[in-house]
Amino acid sequence: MSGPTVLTAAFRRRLFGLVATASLLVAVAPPAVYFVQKRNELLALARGDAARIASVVTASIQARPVLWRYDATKLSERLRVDGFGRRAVFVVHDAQGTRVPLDLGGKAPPTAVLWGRAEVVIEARPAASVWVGADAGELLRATGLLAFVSTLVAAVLAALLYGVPIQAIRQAEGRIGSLVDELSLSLREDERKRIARDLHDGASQALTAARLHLRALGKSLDEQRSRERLDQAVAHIDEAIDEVRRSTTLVTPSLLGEVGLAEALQRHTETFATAAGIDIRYERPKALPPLSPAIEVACLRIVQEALHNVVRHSGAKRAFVTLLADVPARKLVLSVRDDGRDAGGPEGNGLGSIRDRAASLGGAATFSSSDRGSRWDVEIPLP
Amino acid sequence: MSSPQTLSCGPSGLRSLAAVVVALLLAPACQGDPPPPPSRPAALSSPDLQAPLVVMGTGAMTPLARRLAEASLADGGANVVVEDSVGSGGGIRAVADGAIDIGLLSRPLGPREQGLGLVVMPIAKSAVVIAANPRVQATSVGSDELVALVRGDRITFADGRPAVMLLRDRDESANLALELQIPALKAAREAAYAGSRLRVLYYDEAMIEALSTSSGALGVIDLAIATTTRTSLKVLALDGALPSREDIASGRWRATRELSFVYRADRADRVATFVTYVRSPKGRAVIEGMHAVPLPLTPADLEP
Repeated sequence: MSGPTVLTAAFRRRLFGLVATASLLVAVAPPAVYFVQKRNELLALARGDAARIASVVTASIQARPVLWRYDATKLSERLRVDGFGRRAVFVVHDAQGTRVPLDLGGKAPPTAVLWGRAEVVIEARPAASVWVGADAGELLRATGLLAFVSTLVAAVLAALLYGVPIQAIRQAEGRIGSLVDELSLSLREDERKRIARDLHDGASQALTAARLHLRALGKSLDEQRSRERLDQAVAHIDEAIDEVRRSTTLVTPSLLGEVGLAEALQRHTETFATAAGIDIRYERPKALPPLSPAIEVACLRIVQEALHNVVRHSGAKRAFVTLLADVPARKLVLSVRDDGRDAGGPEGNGLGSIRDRAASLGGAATFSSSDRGSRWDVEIPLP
Repeated sequence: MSSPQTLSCGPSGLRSLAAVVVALLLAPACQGDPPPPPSRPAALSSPDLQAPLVVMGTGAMTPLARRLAEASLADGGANVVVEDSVGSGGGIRAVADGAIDIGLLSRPLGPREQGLGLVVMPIAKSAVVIAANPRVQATSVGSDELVALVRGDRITFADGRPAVMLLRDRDESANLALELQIPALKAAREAAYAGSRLRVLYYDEAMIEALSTSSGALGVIDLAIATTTRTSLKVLALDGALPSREDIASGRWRATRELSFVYRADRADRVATFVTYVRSPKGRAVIEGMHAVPLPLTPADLEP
């Protein structure tokens, strides 16, 4: 797995298009459907009115084929009686396209007009044209309001459809990353155990055998000087054996499984203090909540690394290791400080290793240093 | 992670589908009826010189015009056909278009009508009166009573019998003529239009029919029409007075209006015969028989 965001990013790309399309449909479709439906109703109404007016005009033309167009008064009266005065706009043109001046109440023409038209045909010849203009202003206002509401709904829907799965994916991805890190840590520890076992079974055994042979050889030497040189060689081999044993002990935190983190740290600090020749004070909690092997190993390694760097960089005589479990805050607090010189930045003081270990468990590590000593503070969230 | 191809409809496909759906939904909205084009000027007609004169216009003058046409033909004069009324405005437009020869007016030309090159010839002066259904018992109506009836403050005659006030349309010149005699009627009439309480008639024939058939009905109408219609209407005295010929001529009866012919200057020759007849003593006699005063006035018209 190349990173914790790969899955999330891939899902984002694919989900965005789907959500955008769905949201567009939700935002556009309802007002569009409403507009078209109501517009068609309005248009049908206007066309119906135009057809009825056309029938009135037809009667006028049939009664007075030439002069009907001058009798706007009677035509207007007929239309008023029929209730057309409540509609919006009426226009009648004679066959030559000249408007017949109707008077149906003086209603101001609306700003948005939907026209319906009807033709007057007498003896297969066009005799007049009728237009009825319906007021479309209310339709436009209602459509605009519906578009506003549906856009809001679409926005909420998009947020839910996009945000909820992405959040779930992100959480799952984080969990996968943690599991992978734990697995990686476990694999590294298994590898370390294997190396330690190989060292113990291989190099340690060979060195022990070499020591035995040299001892036996020494007993057979008569010269004092040769015996002294042989003793030095044996001493070096003893050092090598001790070093191998220390390394395998460092690499294999098998103690954790036997005695737990608090006791393992106790023993390590005591062993290290003796080996390094510094005073290490260790403060431990009375009890710890159940911890995962990954957390215990990480804490042990962090203390090992930090103490190693105390000896290497600070020249301190005293070191302090503190382990606390802040159960209400659900976190484990570990600190390693010394009273040595200013050790500089964290880069040469185990930055990568300690921060990586803390981060792999969802925690954080900070380093500070002054002429009064250096300090590592690590917080790891409890499961 | 599954590839896009494993989805039944990938993101780009759904986008295309959405576009098609929207286009289909909106497609009907793109259709519709185009708006009316600008009005074209009326095509001018040329008269058929062999055809009778065609006369048309205000209903206030139509009965008089028909009487004059009948008399003219009987005396061997011009052959004139008087069409049903279309109002003064309709008559003016028909004359301007050349569709008719003479228009009948009961009002002056408006500002836009004055530029049409038309000739206006006053023919008669007619009184505007209050006429009622023949079965109405009242013989007179007062000015205040009339205003109250129009305004809706009362719905009965002075004798307590039901009164049904009928109105003419707002632009009718008879209203304006009566308001010369009773100025308070204007505001009362506007209030009646605004309240939509009273029935409004838009032409003289409709008023005649309504007055004839509606019990208790009364309304404004031309004296000539009221006295010559087939169904006799009852003319009510206004403040106890009925207009005499001399009252109309002198202006004592203020509710009068001028009735005129209007014709195109280029048809003056064609209409001259009929116009001359109308202004002749015989024509004037016809006008007087219709309870109108012929124009121009003569000194005799002013004699009591």
